[in-house]
Amino acid sequence: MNLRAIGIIAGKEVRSYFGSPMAYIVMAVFLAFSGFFFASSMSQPFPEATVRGFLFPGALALLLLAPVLTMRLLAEEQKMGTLELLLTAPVRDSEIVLGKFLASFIMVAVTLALTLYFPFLLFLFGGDPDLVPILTGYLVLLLVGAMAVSVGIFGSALTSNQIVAAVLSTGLLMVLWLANLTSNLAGGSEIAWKTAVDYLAISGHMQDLAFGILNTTDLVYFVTVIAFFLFVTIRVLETRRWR
Amino acid sequence: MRLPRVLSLPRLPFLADLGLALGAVALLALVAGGLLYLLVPELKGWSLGLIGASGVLLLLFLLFSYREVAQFLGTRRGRYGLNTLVVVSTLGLIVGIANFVGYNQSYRQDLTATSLFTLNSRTIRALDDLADPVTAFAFFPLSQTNPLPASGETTMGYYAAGLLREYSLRSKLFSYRVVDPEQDPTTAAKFNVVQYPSVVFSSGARSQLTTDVSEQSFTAALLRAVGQELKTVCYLTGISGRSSTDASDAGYSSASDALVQENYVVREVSLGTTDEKVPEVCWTIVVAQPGRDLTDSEAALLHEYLDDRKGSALFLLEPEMPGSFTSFLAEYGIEAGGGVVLDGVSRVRQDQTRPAAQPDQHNVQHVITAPLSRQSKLTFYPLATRAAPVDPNPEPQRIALTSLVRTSLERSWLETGGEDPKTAEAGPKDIRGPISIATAALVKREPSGSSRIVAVGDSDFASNTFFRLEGNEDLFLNSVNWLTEEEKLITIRVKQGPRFMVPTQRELTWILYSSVAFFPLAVALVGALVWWRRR
Repeated sequence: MNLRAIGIIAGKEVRSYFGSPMAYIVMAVFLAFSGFFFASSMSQPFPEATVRGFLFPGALALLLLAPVLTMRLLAEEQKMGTLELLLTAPVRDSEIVLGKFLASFIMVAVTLALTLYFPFLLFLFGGDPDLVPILTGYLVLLLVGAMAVSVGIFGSALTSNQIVAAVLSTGLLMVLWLANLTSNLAGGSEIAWKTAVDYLAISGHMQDLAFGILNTTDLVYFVTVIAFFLFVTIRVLETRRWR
Repeated sequence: MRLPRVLSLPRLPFLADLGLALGAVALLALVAGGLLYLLVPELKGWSLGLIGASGVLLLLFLLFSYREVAQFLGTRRGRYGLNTLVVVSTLGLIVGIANFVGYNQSYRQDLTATSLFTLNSRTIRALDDLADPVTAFAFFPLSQTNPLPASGETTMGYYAAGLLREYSLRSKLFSYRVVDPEQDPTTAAKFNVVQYPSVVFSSGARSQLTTDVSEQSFTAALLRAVGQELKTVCYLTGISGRSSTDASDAGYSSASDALVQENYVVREVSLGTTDEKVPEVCWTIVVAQPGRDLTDSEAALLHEYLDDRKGSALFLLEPEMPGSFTSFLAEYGIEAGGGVVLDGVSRVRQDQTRPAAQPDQHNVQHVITAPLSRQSKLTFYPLATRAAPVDPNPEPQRIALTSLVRTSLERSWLETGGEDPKTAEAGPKDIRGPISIATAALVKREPSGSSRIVAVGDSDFASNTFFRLEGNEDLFLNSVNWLTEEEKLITIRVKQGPRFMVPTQRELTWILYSSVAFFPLAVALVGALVWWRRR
């Protein structure tokens, strides 16, 4: 795999992001949304010195906003006909997908980096917060962001229509977010399928890391789901060579 | 593709169409049968029937549409498509297996500075000892368990669910359900739940309800649900100068709270007055700062409890303790009193009347003090006296004596001359250190069993002022755990509790406006500038 090619593709996409107002709008909306929940958690009678108050709403916001960032990555190339040019260039399909994934992930990471203002406020106002749950909290947001981006690119590879791509990705991510609620509504507690459906839910894999607990189950979940969607995206891109 | 002769049936277009339709129905039947099998186990027969039917339909599809299938697979699209399907399915399978293994073989570590989500040893013991399944029903209105609480995550229901989840992760025999009593009033009525929040622990026909959301309450209810009684620690009043309920600096309310946290029941007993003798429920008795001599009847009652009923006792002494206690403890091989322990080397705030035991001054061989030594804990004893094993042990076959804590090797002594302890120097009549400050005695009884005694030459270390400092709490609780034969609970306790902050109204205002408005607007402004430049 040519890392330089991945870097070039990622660099081009990152410049494209920061050159358009869309990225800033996404970042501003995410910050305002997260900021509201952070401020709400701080206005409790005895607030805990933690950023946990915005982690779950922040993750939900990422799932909604990441498809907006990724929807054009491959769909636009298909619509404009530039994908054929890209596919005939001396780069592998995997390098194209990973380059675009990396660019979107950098965008997510920058957005999350801006929220470091919240833990800064905790230190500023003498909260003496426990650093580990903050770090694991950001780790889980990065993982959720990477997952949302991988699903978003998958959606973008399926169609040449950006709106359809965004709706497809958001729908898939919402299914993963709400999976455990669905199984709760169905009732029953000792059925294997319920455990399996609960396991699919993103929020269930956030809880431990959000509280400062490292659980390898959650890491395996995020890493394998991200890898799966990236791989499937590469295969979807490959189909254009023989469809 | 050349087809086998047996499959070379005459080509009938309507059969091919029928085959495709049957294929579609087979696929639907397979999905429906699979879902039915997973969702409604009661209809297992139906679901297996559907899956079987889908197999038959699939065969018919292949039979009727074999030409179309073969033709499709013969094309480039067909071959590549099949290849992609197989590769993606294989990867899906690998992902599934990886997650299955990851779920069943997980490594989980609480990384918080205060081990906030680490269950205490009493809970772990209770869960590990479960023999029958236990289910906890947590009755909370749904708004209190919402995974997206608008007002932060500290709502009681959320905390309770998190705690119960820790329990379920520890033991396969423990499960829990969060029940919204408004949506499921039947379950609430079944357990007679009339107020919320409530958590019911149910095992077989037994159930135990608690309305207090804390680990201690949950574990107590769990133990009761499986039929275990909580052990009782009895404070002797009348004799003791300290009270288990006294919240003043000299009181023992912190120690009592800590005992309750470890799922003991704490009560006070008064020998010869309200209580004829040491009650049967007392697993151990605590005598803290003896204030007067034992009467003959009280001594007899204590002997009856310790010798005949194989009881146990924790004596927390002071330099000015009555002589009857010295002779009482001597009968169990403990030499107590005789002066003030002073330490010119290992001491708190350069005060020799406050000897401090460094980690290596705790006996690493005894279960009570070994964790203190291993985990580098310090204990200290403001104005203490001696509590040492009688040397030589007069009955080594019957009494096992262990010194638990000693003063430093250099410049520590037992001041016997009556000098001012603050300024005293070691004199020829004083007893040179190291001096034992705490001793454990294990007295064998015929035909089986034993009595257990721990004597500490100080009672201040467990008072409210000093209890939570350094390893004092651990020494006290470990002693009680050993005396009640709960050695598995002996540990070093991490000081728990989330870190709260108290922002002023102005700070809150700044947090709100800067987080929701100023900062996002600044980012949006940069976006507007970018747009303006590109325009």
